[in-house]
Amino acid sequence: MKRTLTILLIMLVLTPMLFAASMSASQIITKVTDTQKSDSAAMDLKLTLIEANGTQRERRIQTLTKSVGDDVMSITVFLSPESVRNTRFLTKDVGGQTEQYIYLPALKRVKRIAAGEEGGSFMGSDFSYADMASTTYDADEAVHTIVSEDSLSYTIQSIPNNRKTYGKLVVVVDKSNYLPLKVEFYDLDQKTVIKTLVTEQQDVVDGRPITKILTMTTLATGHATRLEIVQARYDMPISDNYFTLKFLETGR
Amino acid sequence: METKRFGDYTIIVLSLILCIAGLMGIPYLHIDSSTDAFIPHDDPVAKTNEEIEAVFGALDAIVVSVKSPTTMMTDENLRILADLTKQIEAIDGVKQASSIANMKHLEPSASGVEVVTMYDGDLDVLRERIDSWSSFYRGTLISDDEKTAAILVQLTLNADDPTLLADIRAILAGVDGLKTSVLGLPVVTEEIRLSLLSDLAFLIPIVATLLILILFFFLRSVKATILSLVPLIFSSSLALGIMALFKITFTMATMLVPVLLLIVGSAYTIHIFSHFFEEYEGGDPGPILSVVVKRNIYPIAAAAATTASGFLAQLSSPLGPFRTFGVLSFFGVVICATSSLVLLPALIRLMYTKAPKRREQEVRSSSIIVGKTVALVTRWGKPILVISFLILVIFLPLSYSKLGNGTNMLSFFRPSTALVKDTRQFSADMQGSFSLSVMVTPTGAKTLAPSTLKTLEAAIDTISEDPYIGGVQSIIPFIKRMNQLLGPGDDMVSDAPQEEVSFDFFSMDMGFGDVDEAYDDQWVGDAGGQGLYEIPSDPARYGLSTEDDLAALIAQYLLLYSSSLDAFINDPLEPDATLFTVLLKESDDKRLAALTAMIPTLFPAEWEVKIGGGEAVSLALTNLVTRSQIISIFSSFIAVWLLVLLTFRSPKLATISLIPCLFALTAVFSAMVLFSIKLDIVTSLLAALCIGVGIDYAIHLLAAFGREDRDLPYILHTTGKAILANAASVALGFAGLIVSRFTPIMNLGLLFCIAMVAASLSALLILPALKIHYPSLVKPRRKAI
Repeated sequence: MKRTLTILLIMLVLTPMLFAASMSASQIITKVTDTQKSDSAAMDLKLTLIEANGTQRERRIQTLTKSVGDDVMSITVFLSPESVRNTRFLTKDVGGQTEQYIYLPALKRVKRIAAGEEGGSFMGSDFSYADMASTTYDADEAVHTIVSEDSLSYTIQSIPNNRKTYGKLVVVVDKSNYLPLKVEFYDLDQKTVIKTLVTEQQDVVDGRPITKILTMTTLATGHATRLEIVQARYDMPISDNYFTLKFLETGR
Repeated sequence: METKRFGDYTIIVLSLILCIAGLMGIPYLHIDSSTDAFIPHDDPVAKTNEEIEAVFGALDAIVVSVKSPTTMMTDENLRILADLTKQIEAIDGVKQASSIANMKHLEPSASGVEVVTMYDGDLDVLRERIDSWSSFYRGTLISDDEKTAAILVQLTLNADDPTLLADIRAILAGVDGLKTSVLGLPVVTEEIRLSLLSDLAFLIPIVATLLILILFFFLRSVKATILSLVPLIFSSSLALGIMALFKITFTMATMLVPVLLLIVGSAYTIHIFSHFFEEYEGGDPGPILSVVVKRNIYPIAAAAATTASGFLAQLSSPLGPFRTFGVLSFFGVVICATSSLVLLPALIRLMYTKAPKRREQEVRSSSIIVGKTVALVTRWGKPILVISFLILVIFLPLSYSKLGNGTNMLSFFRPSTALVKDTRQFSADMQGSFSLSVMVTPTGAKTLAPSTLKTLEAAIDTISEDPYIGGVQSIIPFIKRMNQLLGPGDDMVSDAPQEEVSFDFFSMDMGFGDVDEAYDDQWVGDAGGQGLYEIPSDPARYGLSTEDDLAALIAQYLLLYSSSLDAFINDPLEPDATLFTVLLKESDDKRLAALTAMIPTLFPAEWEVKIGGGEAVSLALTNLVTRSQIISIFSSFIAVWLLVLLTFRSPKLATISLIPCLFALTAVFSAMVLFSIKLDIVTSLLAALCIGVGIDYAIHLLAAFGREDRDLPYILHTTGKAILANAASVALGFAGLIVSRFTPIMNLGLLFCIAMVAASLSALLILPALKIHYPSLVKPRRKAI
């Protein structure tokens, strides 16, 4: 994972500045990214996987993320389902190198694993690993254009410089807090929408706006995943101890 | 006179408008070339396929075969393969394209596992990687002789197959030095669609040309031939228009309707013209034509009614397109008969002022045949009857019982076609290109529990014993591989670390302690690849206590694989169903039936086992076709028997009238056994058609026998000749179907010719023999027809 799960979900620092002057697409996207940035975050997430026939399955994870400059460390602990409870992932993006480790509670052992594919599904959900890291492209990762604007939102088209998973994103940005309201993910052909992400509920935690509940739907299958931030804390001091093999292996 | 002319012009102009409107509907025809179109929506296999596709994604994969005359394992060929895979993956509707050149390979590393690309430019390493998991790679992605490589193309559910296939073919067109082919059910379906269009474009003109020749042979007049074609073209165009207007799917069954109408309808126009020519002496044809039409209304209506009822009997079929075919043909025949009695006379009235020349020579030659027939049935009548009876009693049930059936779509094409040859070659080189998907829901057990997986493995082993099975793809090899890569070695269990802690970031102090860097720096993980290539099933070996613990271990392995196993399990962590795909070297209905009967017995009774996939559709269709055939034979017999009963008011004559039909069926079934022609979605229509068309001959002869003022030679000279003419025209018309691109339609043409010969000959030999030797049997209650 190039970027970590939490960056997306940490919807930090509301700076509700309403610029009178019109902003460029890149500036808007930079605001979106900045709004979601944090030095550290702890999150308790509930993923509800919804089959096209309405059947639901639940996943529960907690994540801890710490960023220092461009370096990001994160640990993810699976709480449910029971079969994978206490399985832990440690990811370190340090100095441009990514290291990943998994702790398998059934074997009580840590294994170093290779980086997963960005396009692969996260825990069988409609989110890919890349989506879990971020659902928008940073200002320098894509060519951003304003498609339309109304009193409440901007609609930005982002065409990535490196088309690996998606050919295009169309992001509707909330003017009041610079959080994404809706994202359409296009296939590499830039014509077919393959997934849509819709914000269902926003919230304010520690004074910053966050997207509390969002649903990602895969259009071809009708399968959807509802992601809810059950608890969150941002920008608190976190010891580096959490991002060690010792903690991964012992939980202490 | 002027009023009459105005009426004729009105009829012709109206018909012309309708005809043009019908032909304009052709571009709007909705073509469905899949066998799925024949399966009722509520059929279990249709539902199973829907269910499987909803959970596991599209079932119909495409395979691109890339073959080298020497070996695919060269840098140049692998570069081409990688390039092709990349280009194919970029096409719209392609979910994933995998080949030996781009696959991700899991291999052990010093402290865990590593994901690498199979081919990174080093051939020796690639071979090592293939050999490290050869049971998975060989036969699936590369053949044992390494001459053939496959690109497996998974489609999205809404893929537009024709466009996608065209894109793939365009990519493959640029390949030099390697033989490429595209295979799989979507390819076969597309080929059928193209063949349907081609048949529509070529078959109708060919049948029409044959009919022109037949009509000219009987009518000996270019003008009469052209005029005779008009009602036929009118009714066929109208049938196409109706299909377009009512959005009736154009399938292999319904596409036969316009062709059938051309053929069957020719008898009506010949009838009108031959009677007209007999009576017409020149001048205004109006009065003569009125008499001819009046005299022919009943015979044409009766013939049309029996033929139409034969078609309508298809309404009893469980197959939707057959019912549509039946209704459409019914209306088509009615339109055809009506236009022969209305449109054709209108055309004749406007076009004829002079009488055509008579043909004395023919009368003489037909008299010789009639004389010989009368002599034959007079002298040998009784032996003919006995032999005929024996033929019926022995050959009809025997041939029917020996009929093979099968609706494999590939067998629709001649063995010499590239599609068939490529598919057979691929099946020989690799695991097979015919597939059966089996969805197993282990009720009351965890899918990932070792005992469940062991049961699944044992079932797969049993299935794989049959040499006709090329391979079985399932979750099992992935679990074994992960266990081999991540599982503990033999002596690694005892030193398991301390008790598991349960923690919650939100209840902990998040600022604890300093980093113990020494611990991390000195950490050396267990090398990957020390585990066994097995389903973990002994808890003690893994330092665990229960089967549930082992199930949890497997779930933890699969957490790493979560994105790539959705074709095998419906959830990466807690699946409640698993899918395995049986690849077959050949598609054989008997073996398929045995296999599908055996598979559920390999699992505990309470587990739910559902079988779907292309071959399951084919098998279900075979069963439906057989059922449809039996039902339609009986309903056709009942329909025509009732109709003849209504005509002659005699159950005895109604039963005797079935004789030519029975001979037609015997001839058809015997020919099918002789030429190894299977009962399929097209040939199963034959029986009802034979009955519908064959019954006419008996009706005409029995009606003629009823006229007391006519002797047998006269009847054979008039009615007998008409029967031969009709049989010849129908048989020759059907012979045109032999040029079809589809084997079943080709067979239909051949078999119908045989049926018409058998029906007409049996009518002309057996019924006269009955009249001579058992006259009371063929004597009607009233003067009829």
